[in-house]
Amino acid sequence: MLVTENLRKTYGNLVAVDGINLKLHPGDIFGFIGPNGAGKTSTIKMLATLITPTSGRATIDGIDVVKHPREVRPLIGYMPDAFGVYDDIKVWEYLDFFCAAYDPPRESRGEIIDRVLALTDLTEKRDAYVQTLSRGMQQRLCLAKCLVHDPKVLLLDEPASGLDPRARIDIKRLIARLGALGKTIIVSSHILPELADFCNKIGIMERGHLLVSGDVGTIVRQVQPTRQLIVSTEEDGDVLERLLHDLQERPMVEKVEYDPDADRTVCVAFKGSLADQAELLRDLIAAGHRICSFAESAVDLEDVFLRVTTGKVQ
Amino acid sequence: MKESLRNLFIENPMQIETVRALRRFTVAGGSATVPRHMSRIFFGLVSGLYLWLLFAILAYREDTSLGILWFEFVMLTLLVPGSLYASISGERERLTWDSLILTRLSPAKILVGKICWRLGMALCFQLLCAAPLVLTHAATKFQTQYTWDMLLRVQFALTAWAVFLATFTLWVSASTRRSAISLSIVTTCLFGFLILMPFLLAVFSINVELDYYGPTVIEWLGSFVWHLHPVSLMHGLTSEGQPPTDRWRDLFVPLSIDRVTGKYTPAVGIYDLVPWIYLTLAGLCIVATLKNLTRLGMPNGKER
Repeated sequence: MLVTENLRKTYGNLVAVDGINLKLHPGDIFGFIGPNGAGKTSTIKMLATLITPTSGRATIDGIDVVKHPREVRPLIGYMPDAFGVYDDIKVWEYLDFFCAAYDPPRESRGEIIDRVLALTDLTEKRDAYVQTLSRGMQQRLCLAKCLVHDPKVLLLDEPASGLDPRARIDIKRLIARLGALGKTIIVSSHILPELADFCNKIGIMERGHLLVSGDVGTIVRQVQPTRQLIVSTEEDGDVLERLLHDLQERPMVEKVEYDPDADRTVCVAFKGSLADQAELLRDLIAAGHRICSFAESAVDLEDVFLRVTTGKVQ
Repeated sequence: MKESLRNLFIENPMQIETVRALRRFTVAGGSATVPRHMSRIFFGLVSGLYLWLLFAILAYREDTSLGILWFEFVMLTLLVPGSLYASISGERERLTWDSLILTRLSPAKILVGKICWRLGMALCFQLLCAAPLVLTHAATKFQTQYTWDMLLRVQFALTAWAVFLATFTLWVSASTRRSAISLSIVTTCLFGFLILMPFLLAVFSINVELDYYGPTVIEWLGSFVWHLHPVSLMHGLTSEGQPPTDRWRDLFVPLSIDRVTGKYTPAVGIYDLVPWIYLTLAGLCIVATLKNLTRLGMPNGKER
């Protein structure tokens, strides 16, 4: 669906994007992570046919974005990081304007607008003036505008920036819903937890370079080869000591950390497979340990990001 | 052809601009909108002045046609560029331009959408000015400075002037990134043409009427440019216009005399050409604007 080959963009001596290679399929939600100035927006703008790459190639649905920008544009929905809306028109008129601008049959426009409003939870605001909407709602309206022509690819540049936590959660849910509809989505952010929940692929960028990219799990494994298991128990004193000892004796366990302040919770660095993990749990219970919970800690993109990047800016 | 025109003017989504413009002065609310009480005061004042003008014409029965034409000219010169200078550069400032060019809207549709309601407004204003003009003719029993024929010519020339101003301003707006810059360019050009140019002609004592033989190129050019001035046209097309000659420089003579009857009759002079010159320049501005819009719609259009 979306392929880039050595995509590069320079502004004078500044290399904003340096040879990016991506391959995304329908339904992929690709999280573009990187500090400000990493080259995320330049990459997205090149894919949105707004700027031309200095070299390299990008295709969307097999169409070259540089050679055929007008053919590519109906396939994409682009939401810029900083966007404006027209004032003095109502929400439905705003969407109708963009819908009409993509030239669908006139009779289907009403239906499209209703569908998009429902998808973005803006149905109640249908007759409100655009300028009276809150920032979060305007953000959703901008996303709704990107959907009126049913694009195959969505390019969302910092879609949740400047939003309060609830609005941020709403946008995240919405993006996850769009991914489930089979759209290929590129979403950029410099806020890591924002992307961890709903992206199945991520790419970490710094100073124009795509340092790592791929499935979230694979990247985490690359950067952090051990699983973090959180084991909580009812035991204390000698019995707890015995649990720690038993854990340390296991061949797949790399490190055991116990924090006395953490209410009888043990953190285990485990390098085995999921089967090994199941076996460990079974053995602990068989050994008579009273285990309350046994779970792998959530993927920590923050750790991955910190290990991969150097913190330098261009 | 009919379908293309329908698409361009009727089915054009950019006509939403008209709705926005009307709402800005009437019902909508918001920071960018004229406050409702302000728009009521504005419309109240304008309506009051208008009614007072009609009443005064009837009461005093004096020829006010030149004054009305002056008012019409000044208002068109202010209103048309004032409503258009930010039409494209403003989109870029408000960060709505990217969304616009990613749609299937053609540059022609954008241009028509941007210019249509502004010219519509100018035409409405001209129609409003037509009523007192007719009234002043009727009230003075047609003893005015303008014959009907001349009046129609001036009106046509003012319409052409408004069209030229609109297209020129749109071109400037499409060529600049900031509304303030486009406003200053348009203002400077208007100031140069409408005020500075006549002033310089006067300073260098260039006789704009060429009432002697053998003018130099500079004098001829000076005279030509002066005759392009809308004020020159408004004053030149009165019944006290230039005396006629049958020489080559008749081009600059708005009236000719019937040698038998001794009456002034309209001639194909410079003033008949002026509106067409305005419209030709407007055509050139439209072509240049379309080129600019096409360039702005391409990748890197904003960078170049």
